[in-house]
Amino acid sequence: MKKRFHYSLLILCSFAWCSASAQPKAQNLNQLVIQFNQSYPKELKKIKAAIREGKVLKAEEFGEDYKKLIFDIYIGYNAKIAKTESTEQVTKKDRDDVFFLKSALEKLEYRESEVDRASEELNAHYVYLETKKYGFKKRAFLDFVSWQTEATLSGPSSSTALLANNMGYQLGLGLTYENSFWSFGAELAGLYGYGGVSNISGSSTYQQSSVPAYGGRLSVSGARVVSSTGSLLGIKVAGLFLQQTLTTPSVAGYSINQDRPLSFTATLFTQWRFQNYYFETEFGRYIAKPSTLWALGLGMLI
Amino acid sequence: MKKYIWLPLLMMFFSQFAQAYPQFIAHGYPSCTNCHFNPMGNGPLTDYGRSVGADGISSGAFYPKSWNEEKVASLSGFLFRTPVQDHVRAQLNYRGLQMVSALGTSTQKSTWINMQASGQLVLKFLKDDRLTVVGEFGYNPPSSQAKSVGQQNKYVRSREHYVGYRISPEIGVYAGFMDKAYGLRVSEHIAFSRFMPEVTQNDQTHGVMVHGLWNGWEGAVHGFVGSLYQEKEFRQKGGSLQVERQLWNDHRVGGSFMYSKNDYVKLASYALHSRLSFNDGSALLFELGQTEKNSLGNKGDSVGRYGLLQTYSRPIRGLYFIGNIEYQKTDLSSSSSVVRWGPGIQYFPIQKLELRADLYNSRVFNSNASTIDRWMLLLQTHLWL
Repeated sequence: MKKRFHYSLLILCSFAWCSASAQPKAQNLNQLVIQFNQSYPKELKKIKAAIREGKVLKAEEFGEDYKKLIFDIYIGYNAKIAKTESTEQVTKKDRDDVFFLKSALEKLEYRESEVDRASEELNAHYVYLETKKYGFKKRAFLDFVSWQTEATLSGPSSSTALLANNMGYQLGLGLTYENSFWSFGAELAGLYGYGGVSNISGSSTYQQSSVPAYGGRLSVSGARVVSSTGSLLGIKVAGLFLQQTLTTPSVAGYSINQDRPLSFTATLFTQWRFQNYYFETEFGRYIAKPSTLWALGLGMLI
Repeated sequence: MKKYIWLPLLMMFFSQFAQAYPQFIAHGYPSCTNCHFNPMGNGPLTDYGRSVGADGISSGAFYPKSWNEEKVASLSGFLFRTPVQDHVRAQLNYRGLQMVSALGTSTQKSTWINMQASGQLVLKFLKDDRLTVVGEFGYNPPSSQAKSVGQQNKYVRSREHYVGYRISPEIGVYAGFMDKAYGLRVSEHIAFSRFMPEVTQNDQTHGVMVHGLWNGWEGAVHGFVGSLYQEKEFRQKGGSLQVERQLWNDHRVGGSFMYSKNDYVKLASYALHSRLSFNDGSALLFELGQTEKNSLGNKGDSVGRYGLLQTYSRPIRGLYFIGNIEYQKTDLSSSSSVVRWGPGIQYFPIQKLELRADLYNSRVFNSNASTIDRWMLLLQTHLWL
């Protein structure tokens, strides 16, 4: 009786410390409880042998107090592990002990539905801890891109706005830091494309076909994982360096003023994953310019 | 000339949106038959479809906390009631649209359009509702093109009425006035994939459709004689075929073919399409097709190409972020093509209510010249009771 009281007190203390997030103390205590449990060496030996050899135990040969003690320790361990916030906080010994206690309770056929429920909750927590883990992923991608270039044709008496709707490709590498809930990344890509140039205002007519454009793009992104398959919905901010040289008219008095080659874009993007491959869409605006950029691409994790 | 290229596109916005959501493959519904009486989607919802709309699609954020899913589903019937008999189902629909065209320009214009105010009635009989009679009647504004194709300019009319009989769960026959079986029946009537093969809001036809669902395959063969509400010479008579194959339990890939002609034009369309599920409401829809138009009696033949890519992401229950990416080349011999990119938001705050905002950016590509992008904003309210 004295011994049983002692166990109960220790377990209650263990729960209390677990609840108060005093995990190291609770862990020590649980170890102590298990050590106390070893004062049932005969029973413990039988259970270990049954687990090891896959034998059936005669549950009725074990006292109710003993079964309850194992159940309480198991629940106590689960409560302790449920409070952990990373996989590193769950030691191998914790995992082994919990596994042993669950196996023992199964052999003893004690409060099976509660044990199953507790086990499912624990497994869900293990999965949660795994999915919270951040890791780095490298990737390569090729996108079909469209962007716009603006310029001004200055004449002797007036100015004319010029526009190029470009299409081309960007080839790049990216690095993401992500878990199952969030993804943060950076990308570096080279662009090449071309577009026809026309006047979009003013009295002067300007037209140039298939003017080549090239440059680079550096972007950072943040995204929410929106499905269990890893689909992303996020925002990308990029610095874009583009060179597209328009031909100055041979008529005297005319010149072309092109925008600075460096500009910035803010885009919404979605990403759709097929194991190590993905498809991506991106749509957005230049910052401080009335132009639009979009991209459709394929990528792979490397 | 450049500015007039947009007029047909603008006119197409004066149209209703259908009530078909093929993206719900990402909720585990690859086939339309679970939720719609029409096995190809669109039209009145089954009791199960109404429950899915209430519990699985719409947000639960505005319901009292004491309501469980059963309680919510019990309100999904006509006028929030649980049906007390098995044979009659009714549905009321309203769709209104605030359209802001030429956004950001000096000619920006905002217009409110009542796209639909109609009632739908379903009579169903026999075991497992094998025999159905479906009809829709109400206010449906005709498109501005209606007259040019011989339609009477009626505002109050039916867009579908048909009789369906399921010979077995695998096969059914449907006869009457309905949409043609072709391509992905996305809700946007303005989509190039619906506009170019002429399967959009006013292109229903009288005919007979056989629908089959068997061992991972689903498809329909549709023979039609044109809309009997059109003058005889405009009626497009022909047939269509739409087939999909289920892959890895989650995805569908398929193809469609359609051929029809009237006294003036022969039209052949064909497309490959797919619907990919990424679970939890996230889906990719894809269709790439061509239409060959042969004008009888002159040399006005053309081959056009279209593409559709729709992305659906669901950050939280009830809210969908849409990417609507379309490609159109009306004539393959032309150097111009259009890409329309439409980010949008679709929100189902409670059951029977859909709010939607779509921004459309259209860009013309021509290796010789460039034009300014066109922008349009559409704000849509959809109620069904």
